[in-house]
Amino acid sequence: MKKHFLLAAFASLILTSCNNEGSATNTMESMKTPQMENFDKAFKSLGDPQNRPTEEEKRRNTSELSDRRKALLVPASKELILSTGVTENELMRKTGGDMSQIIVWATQIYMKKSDEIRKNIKSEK
Amino acid sequence: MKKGLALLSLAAFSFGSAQKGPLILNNYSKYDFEGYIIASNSDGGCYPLVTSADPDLVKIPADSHMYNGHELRYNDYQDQFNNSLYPMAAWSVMLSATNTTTIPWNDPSLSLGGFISDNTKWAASKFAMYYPGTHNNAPDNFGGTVSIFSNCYNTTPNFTTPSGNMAEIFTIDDGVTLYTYIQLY
Repeated sequence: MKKHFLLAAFASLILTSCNNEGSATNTMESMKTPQMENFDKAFKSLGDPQNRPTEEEKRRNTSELSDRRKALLVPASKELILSTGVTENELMRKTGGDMSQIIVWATQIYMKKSDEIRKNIKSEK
Repeated sequence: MKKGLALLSLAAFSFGSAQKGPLILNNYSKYDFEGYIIASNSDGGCYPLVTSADPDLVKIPADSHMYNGHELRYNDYQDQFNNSLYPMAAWSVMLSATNTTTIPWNDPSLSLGGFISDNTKWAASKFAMYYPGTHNNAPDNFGGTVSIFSNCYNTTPNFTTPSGNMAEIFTIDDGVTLYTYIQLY
């Protein structure tokens, strides 16, 4: 009897831990903000037919993303920066409206948030 | 050895492209990615040339990108081991066409600010794409090499397959940090 009881207790422990794993995977995406989702979507949109490199862009002697394609990333980058409490004025003052600076800043925010979410999920486990 | 040192000092003196930022690989496609990750002294003589070695091929499942947190992110040769989902335990380092060494990720020579890191930047990937969980090639044998613009490579930064899949490598440089992206669609 005792043995059965222990077995049951053990089994329920396993079940609970598995359940937690399930909820942890859910939180990975649910903890991400709409601004983070839009930022990723903007990068994905670079592969849409109309956003792919043009013949002219392919002939350039650089690997830097073209201004036309950078512009596709700027709105979502701005949105992400502003969502951290930075004001439009501060954004313009810090970047001078430079697209690369805006995108790099947003990327850094994204990666920091992503790392925090990953850490939270680990500590919940 | 002497030759190696001479090469080192020459390279350190003349060039310095610096691994000055992270690599991010987003696989938005519905195929698994398997490929080498390559960095090099692309602005000066091509060497050192650093290639993933353990594992040699990085495997990134279909639909792995920033939003689901499954993107590949390497901040530098060392940081990646503890902080990336795709840890690289060793890198193959070519100091010249005839001098190749496999170096563990935590070897001091790979540290940020060291010679190898200071003289290389993320440059290319040679890869194949497969149907998820298999080694069956994606349509049109989607795969190949994408490389940044440089004399070191005779491959292009992007290509599209007849059925519409695309691979590309590009940089975004704000003057301080250089982000290098590899994206599969």
